[in-house]
Amino acid sequence: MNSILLRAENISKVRLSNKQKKTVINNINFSINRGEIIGLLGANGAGKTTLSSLIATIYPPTSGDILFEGQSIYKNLCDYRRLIGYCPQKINLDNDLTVEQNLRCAGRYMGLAEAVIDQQLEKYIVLYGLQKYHHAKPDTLSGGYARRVLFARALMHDPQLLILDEPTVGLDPHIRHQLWDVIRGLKALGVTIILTTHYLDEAECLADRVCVLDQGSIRLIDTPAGLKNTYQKTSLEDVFIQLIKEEAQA
Amino acid sequence: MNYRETIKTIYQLLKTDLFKFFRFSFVDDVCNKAIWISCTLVIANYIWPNIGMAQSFGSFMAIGSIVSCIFWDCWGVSVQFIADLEGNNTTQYYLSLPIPAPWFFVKQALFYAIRALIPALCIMPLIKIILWSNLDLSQVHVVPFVVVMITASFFGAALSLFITSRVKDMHSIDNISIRFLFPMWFFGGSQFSWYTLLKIAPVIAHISLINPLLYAMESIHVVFLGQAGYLPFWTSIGVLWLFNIVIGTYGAHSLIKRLDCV
Repeated sequence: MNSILLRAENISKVRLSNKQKKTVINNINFSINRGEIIGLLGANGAGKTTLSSLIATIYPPTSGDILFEGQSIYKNLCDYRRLIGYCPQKINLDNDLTVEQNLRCAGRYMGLAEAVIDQQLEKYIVLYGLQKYHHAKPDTLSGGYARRVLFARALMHDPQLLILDEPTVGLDPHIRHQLWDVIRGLKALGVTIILTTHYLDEAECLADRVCVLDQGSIRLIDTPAGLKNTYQKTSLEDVFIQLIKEEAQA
Repeated sequence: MNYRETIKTIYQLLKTDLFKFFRFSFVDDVCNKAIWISCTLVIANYIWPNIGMAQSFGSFMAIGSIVSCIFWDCWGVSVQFIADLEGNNTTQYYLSLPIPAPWFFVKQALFYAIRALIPALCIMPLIKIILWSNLDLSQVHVVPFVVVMITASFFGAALSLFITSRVKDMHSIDNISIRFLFPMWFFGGSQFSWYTLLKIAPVIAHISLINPLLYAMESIHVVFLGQAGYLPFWTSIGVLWLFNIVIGTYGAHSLIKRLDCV
């Protein structure tokens, strides 16, 4: 049986929008098992990015708690941040630094020794085919390569949990498939992954379980096969369309 | 919290900031300041005396321009910060590192102070060359000079955080400079001492006591020109540190709230 790595308990997030309070995450409870890939699915505005950002401690929740290995992450925030890696949807690499400097600095910020940084740098530069772009500035790279650098930056300290927010958005199909291989490779290494995506084929191919969000609440959480069985559909896309129809009828 | 690890991360962030500053901005920054100061000093020291202004005004302006450089630097760093939030948003990455958000802003303040201080020190030889015999450095004491430069640099840093927290977006950024920074600078002792203003317009002089720049200007003038005619040096330094703490804390707190960070 898989052990629980992370557990969200009654998480809510209320935001101020035009001086009005809006609940973007509404009392969410779920857990993530060690070594699994969990896909966060949902329409635009469902709360996928907010939920992944809460887990990445980019924002604090308005209420509720997130437990990592049974401990509240807010009790020792810095230690928790050393255990996770976060790739935001928007590529926020430092364009004043080269690819190598971005990765080296990421290792230093995480407190790694220079010898370890050298090893990790070598490993990820080779693994993600960045040899040619060592000394390139991130803003000169194509979307796919910049995304790989972002992955490498998040992985420099070998995190236990990787949070990927729309990692393949806006990329060509063949680059998307290359990045899927990267994600599968990370899973093979034992990294637990939270994958936020609105590509249903991506979730179907990569995720062990998918969590469908709707207006800030969890609508469904199951394996892709389980969801297809429940709804008697052949693809996650059909399941999703069915859910939207049900929502419209309700 | 593991303070040792946090300080190590802060140190690395500061090192990266300084590396980028010296690599990409430092030379331009010093050149820009040198051009600005040279124009100001040539006019104040060689042209205005010929149309009736006192010769000593050149040195008064020159000394004030050291603090002016630090003061106006806060504008540039605020613009950079806002531009990053609206653009690349590397700030979000830095705020996801293993340091609490308030510590990140302490690091920012430290960096802003250093990046304001170093170019200001670099233009001092230029000031001496332009003013030459009109600027007597023999009566300058090292300790008060170091104290005032550090205090003024932290004032620039605290003001940067404050301004950044008040600027909504890039569209409204000019409003802050015209509505806030310019009046602050004009009435902040850069053109005349506080006692001079007191004689001419006592009400404005008393209102200007809430302007922290005034204390930085008065104290730098004391260091170079002596205590007579200026606010007491150590009182100015004390009040300025009080302002630094208040506006810096307020700015950082507002930014943490605005960015909604943990």
